[in-house]
Amino acid sequence: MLWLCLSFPQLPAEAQGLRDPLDVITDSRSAQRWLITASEGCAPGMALADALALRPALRAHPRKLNAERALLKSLAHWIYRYGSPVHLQIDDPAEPGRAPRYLLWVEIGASERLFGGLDALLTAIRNDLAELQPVARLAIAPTRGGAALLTLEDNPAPVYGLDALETRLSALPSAWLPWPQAQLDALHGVGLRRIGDLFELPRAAFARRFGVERLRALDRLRGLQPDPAPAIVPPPVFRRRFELPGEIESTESLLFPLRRLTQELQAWLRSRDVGVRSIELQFEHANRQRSVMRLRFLSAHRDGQRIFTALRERLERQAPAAAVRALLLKAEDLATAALGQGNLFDAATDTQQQWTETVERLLARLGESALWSPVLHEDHRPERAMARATPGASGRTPATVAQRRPLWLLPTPVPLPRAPQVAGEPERIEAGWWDAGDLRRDYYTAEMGAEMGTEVGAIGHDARAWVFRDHIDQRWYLHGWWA
Amino acid sequence: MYAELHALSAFSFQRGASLPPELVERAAELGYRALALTDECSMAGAVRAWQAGRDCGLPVIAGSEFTLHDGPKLVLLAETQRGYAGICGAITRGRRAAIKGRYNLQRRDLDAPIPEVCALWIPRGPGDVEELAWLRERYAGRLWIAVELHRDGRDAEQLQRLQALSQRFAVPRVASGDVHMHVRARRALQDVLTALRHHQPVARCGHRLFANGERHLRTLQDLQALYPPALLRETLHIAERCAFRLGTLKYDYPREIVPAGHTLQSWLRALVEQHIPERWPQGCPPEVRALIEKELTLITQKRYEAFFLTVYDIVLYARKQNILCQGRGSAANSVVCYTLGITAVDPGFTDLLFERFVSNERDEPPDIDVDFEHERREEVIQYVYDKYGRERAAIAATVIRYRPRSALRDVGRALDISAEVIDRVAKSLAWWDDPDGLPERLRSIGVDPKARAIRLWLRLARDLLEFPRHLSQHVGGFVISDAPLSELVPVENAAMPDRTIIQWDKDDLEALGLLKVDVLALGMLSALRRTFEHLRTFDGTALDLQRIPTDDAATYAMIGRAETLGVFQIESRAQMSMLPRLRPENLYDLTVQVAIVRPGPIEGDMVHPYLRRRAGLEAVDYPPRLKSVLGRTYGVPIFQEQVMRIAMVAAGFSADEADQVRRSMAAWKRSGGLEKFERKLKDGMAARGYDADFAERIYKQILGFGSYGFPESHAASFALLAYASAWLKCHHPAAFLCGLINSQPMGFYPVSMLVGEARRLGVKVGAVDVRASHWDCALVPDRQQRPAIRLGLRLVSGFNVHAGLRLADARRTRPFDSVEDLARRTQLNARELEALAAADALRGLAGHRYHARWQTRGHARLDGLLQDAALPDDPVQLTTPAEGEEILADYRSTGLSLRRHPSALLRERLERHHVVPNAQLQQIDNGQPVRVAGIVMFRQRPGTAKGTMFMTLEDDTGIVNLIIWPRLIERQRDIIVGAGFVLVRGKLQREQGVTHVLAEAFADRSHWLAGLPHLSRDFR
Repeated sequence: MLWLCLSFPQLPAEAQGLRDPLDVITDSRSAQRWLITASEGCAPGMALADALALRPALRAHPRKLNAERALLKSLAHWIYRYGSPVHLQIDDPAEPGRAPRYLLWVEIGASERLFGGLDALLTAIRNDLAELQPVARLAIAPTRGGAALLTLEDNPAPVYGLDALETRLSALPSAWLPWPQAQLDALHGVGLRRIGDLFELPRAAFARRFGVERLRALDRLRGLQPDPAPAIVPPPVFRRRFELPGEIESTESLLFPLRRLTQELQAWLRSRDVGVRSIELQFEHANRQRSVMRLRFLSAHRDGQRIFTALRERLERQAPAAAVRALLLKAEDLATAALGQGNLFDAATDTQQQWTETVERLLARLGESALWSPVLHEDHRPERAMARATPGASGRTPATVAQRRPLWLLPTPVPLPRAPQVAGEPERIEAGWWDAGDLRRDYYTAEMGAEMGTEVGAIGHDARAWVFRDHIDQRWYLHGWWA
Repeated sequence: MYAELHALSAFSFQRGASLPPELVERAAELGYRALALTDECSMAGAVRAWQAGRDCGLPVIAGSEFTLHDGPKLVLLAETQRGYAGICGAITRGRRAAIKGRYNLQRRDLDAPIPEVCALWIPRGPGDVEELAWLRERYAGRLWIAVELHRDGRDAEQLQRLQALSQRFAVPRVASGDVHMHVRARRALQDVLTALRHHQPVARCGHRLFANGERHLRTLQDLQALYPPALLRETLHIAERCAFRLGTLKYDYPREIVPAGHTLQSWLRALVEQHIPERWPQGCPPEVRALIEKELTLITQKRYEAFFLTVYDIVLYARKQNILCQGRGSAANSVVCYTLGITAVDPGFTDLLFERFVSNERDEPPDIDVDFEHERREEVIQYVYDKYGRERAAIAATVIRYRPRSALRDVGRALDISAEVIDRVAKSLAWWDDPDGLPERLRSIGVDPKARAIRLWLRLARDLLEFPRHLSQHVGGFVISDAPLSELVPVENAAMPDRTIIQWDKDDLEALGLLKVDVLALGMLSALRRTFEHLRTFDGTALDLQRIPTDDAATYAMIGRAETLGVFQIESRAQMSMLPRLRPENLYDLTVQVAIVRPGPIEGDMVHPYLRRRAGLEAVDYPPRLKSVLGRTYGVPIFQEQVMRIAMVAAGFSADEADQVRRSMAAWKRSGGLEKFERKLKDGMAARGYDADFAERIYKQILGFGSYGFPESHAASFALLAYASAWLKCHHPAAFLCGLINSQPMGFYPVSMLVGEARRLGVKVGAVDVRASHWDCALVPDRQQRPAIRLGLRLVSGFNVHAGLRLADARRTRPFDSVEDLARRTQLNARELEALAAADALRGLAGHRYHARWQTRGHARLDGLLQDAALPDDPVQLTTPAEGEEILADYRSTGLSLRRHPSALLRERLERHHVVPNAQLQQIDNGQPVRVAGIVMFRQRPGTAKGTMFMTLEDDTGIVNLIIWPRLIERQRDIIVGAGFVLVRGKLQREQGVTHVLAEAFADRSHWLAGLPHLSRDFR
């Protein structure tokens, strides 16, 4: 057996679509946060506070495990064309100061001849990587564990044969083993600095101190024991979800992630040696809204560029309805797929679809700001307490609804030309100093005479207004109308 | 006119946003007739409020607010002392029934109405009718409905509803404010406190914040606009009924200290007469007898006998248990205390100023502080509790206040500032930072001080500074009374189990004239006792404090050479640099030494004149009339009493006024009042014929002295201990240093330097070894039968005393022959074995650390039948650790190494950098440029040094003291504050035999010794 192992040190960032060297991904456990990707002068494992002290401009993002798994899986599906079986693994010690490792193996013993030699094979793989763009380190060895360790080295030479493997591994530091930190410290504490030192120890003595499991791990590492694992087989359909960093509104900004998706689709199609006849691109918006774009091709093909161009043209003609949070690309209609064409489209008559369509039509006709859902927030400030949200949103209902409020609240208070006729006692509200929305007002109910009413656009005669006197600028304002 | 009857201060933790004096002063300003401070289930702020009220002429009513678990929210106000005692009892009950910081009161606790209080019921809405009914059953005739209007738009509605209730139940109404702050401007801070209480940022608190800032002390105009006049008038009616004032509190001292047939007075005299022959075997000299009579008369007059007898009883108990103790502070001014054995300063030795201790005019109780061995102080505390009972004895509280770091953290959390930013800012605050330098600090770590959120954060953190956060147990101040304490002041649970504290701190007690006995801890007393024990065990030498020979020339010579590492009070860097100049030759010189290296004399510029005059370099001049005061100290005032006496003799101050100067100096400096004092002093001196120059000099000296000078008697008490420890170090260094190490933590120096000092003195030190070490370090004979020190298991990080005892026990039966044998017989767990391996303590059984760890890790614990079975194990070949690794591992495990110093590993490298070994600095001339290096052992930034910092570096040859000026600190702050190992370029400075290096540039080389733990001790 000959294993090619790829490790992807920047995968957490790539999984979230972040390329800028100032963007780092962090993992956390209770109060501790540390880096799991590298950045300028900051190595993975460094505490976030220390990294920020060194480079205050760093932007820290928490890791998204699902995105990482999705990307690694997609890469596994891609590499399937180069050999089989394919295995993947995320080595995640989850201890402060340690970064996870994202590993992929493909058995190339059989494929070497197929691709015309190892060099040709590696060249092809590297070309693909250049297109797909993840940062990868490669190593080739007779065992999976061995190959994984060798990716940490800076030595590209492949290792053939178990003896050569043992020699190479012996020189590596024992601190590189993917074991819990406590055990690595223990190894260090008895002076076992190199993996070779471990190999030389009497087996029983080692097992007694570090456990039989570790002994077996070492055996698997140097090929004394087999290392079975579930193989990854790409699914019959392509489904790739990509979560965007933040909400993206402009079509331009969607193109980049879209290009990546189409490239992955292309790689997948090639690895399966199939063509696609139609695809579906779903946009996920806030509040679990989705919109769908369907494309049909004249003939089945697997040209990523063609797919991308078609999508882009469609987008330029019809931009997505709202800011997009995630993309989902589905290719289920394949040329040689045995599934047939019948059930590719979901039943288009579900009510959620209808509602979305209705909302979209209304929004298109009336303009986006005309449609909103009222939502209650817990805040003493009237304008914050009753907020507007996107249609269909439901905010958290506050526990206590303290005061009576007019039904019709103006979005912004309207200054009054002169002091109105007020009745009754004031309600004094002083709040909001913490977010630049500090207000200090005395609210009253006032009878609006006819002339004052029309000046401020009252709805009818003798309407009762909700007015206030602002302490900060000493003026009177109108804020709403009682029903 | 109006009296506010419901007000909370910051002592209602996380509710009130103003300090008691702020509330009182504001109420007075507004023209209120009276103010009631009603903190929630607490009287912690009551004394401060009463004091402020006394100072500005506003009557302050004592009371408290309660929210019962199952019932009404109410305020109780004390009409008389009896009512006050009842309220304190209720608070105590509620606090004792809950964990620290909380209270738990149910209706059944207040079922029996408390007599002589006025009750205000606070309506809350649901359940009002039922609550009012319950209260009326118990407090009819002294119950009111509190009408609290805050302009929430429903005031009219509220007024009507409560009027209906009032009529229905025939309970009168009264206006009150639910005051949470003294001015509206504290609104933001009050919101922050609310946010902290709910563990949420302010922005997410929503309706839990008050809707407006009305809950402050409002103007009379405002109140009149809001409330019907009858309700306002009712406040005056209640205020008149509540005539109790805190200042009239009376209490009695426990009576059982006097045996049958005696009165307090007669018993005190009997004891004094009994002990006189012990102190003066040749008979009592007439002047001493005169002093005793004078003191006893005064004591009787002020009725302090019980106090002295209580302290005497405690000291007697300690002596019987062989616990070393000694009185200190102003009590050392008393001959009676000396006679009774409470203090150790012979009255013939200094000029005792009894008035400093007890004065006829002053109404304050004396302060007797007694130091006990720090490790056995607990026994003494337990004795007091046992003797007087938990009801009648309790420890005073300490108010823990917000400091810069905690204020920034809490306010930052409330403002939802990211945890990283808070962390960065809080961490970068070196311990001396003041809030004003903060904007600069922020810029340098990438935070914009102009950003709105940041400005808000800083402003509110500054407001929060010095606010009380919670109460904690005082170090050892006991209050003991005859009647249950809870009638005097509420008692609550401390954090320690089985400990209770009163809600007042020592300032409060002093203000009210309550007697407090300070049971303090002094590490040196433990160290001394241990030294005596070591000597006794080693070769039977029987020594104690009284039997140490006085006036030993060798000891004073050693002191003069500043070889005082480990010696009590004269071991710090500052002290050591003074010793070669002052060269004490007798106990009095030592007394001066102890007192002179303190902020007071330094700031008052007393030190240099003293030194020059003593050396004969300057004429000793002072007005002849002041000879009795200044004669002993060459005309320079060094001690606090001298300053007091000058004011009395030269400027005509009374003893009381002179004492007032001492206490108020700090406050005057902060907020004004100095001019009055200056005028009085100078006028008084002019009237008595002193010339203006002299008066100015004296004034400046007193000013600089402030309140930081030592009393002479206190310095004398400490000098006795300093001499004793120096004598022991000089003549029995092994025993002394062994005792010192066993008494850690204490003193100025870390264990590594104490061990270093022992070796420098030729004492052999043996490493921690499971074959020979006990828990404590032990004095053992070396090969030449001289005393040597075997380091103890207490130094091993991660090891505990129980494991240590098991180990010593198992070893006593039979020595260990292998790690396996040790592990099995001692039943140590994996962690404990690992600690021993890490400390290299298994070397005798297993070889070096790697082998030791290999073996401890291989130990398998088998039970039952297999208990004694031997498990086969293959031998292994492990590499040998490098020397550097061993040394660093030593430091990590025990804080020291008996191998080479880490610097020794770097010698070649340092030479290439032209670094001079510290021991060779003596050969460099004054003013020469020089490079030094070492591990940072001390960082010190005393307040008197105007921002200059002192740092001590240690290398394999010795230490060097660096002087770092503020500008350099700002430029290289991170290195100076945080580095472990540094290279320094600077200039050598030698003055009167004392060598320093003036630092010019630092280079951080901590990575050369990666893995060295943080060793530096950082001081003010």
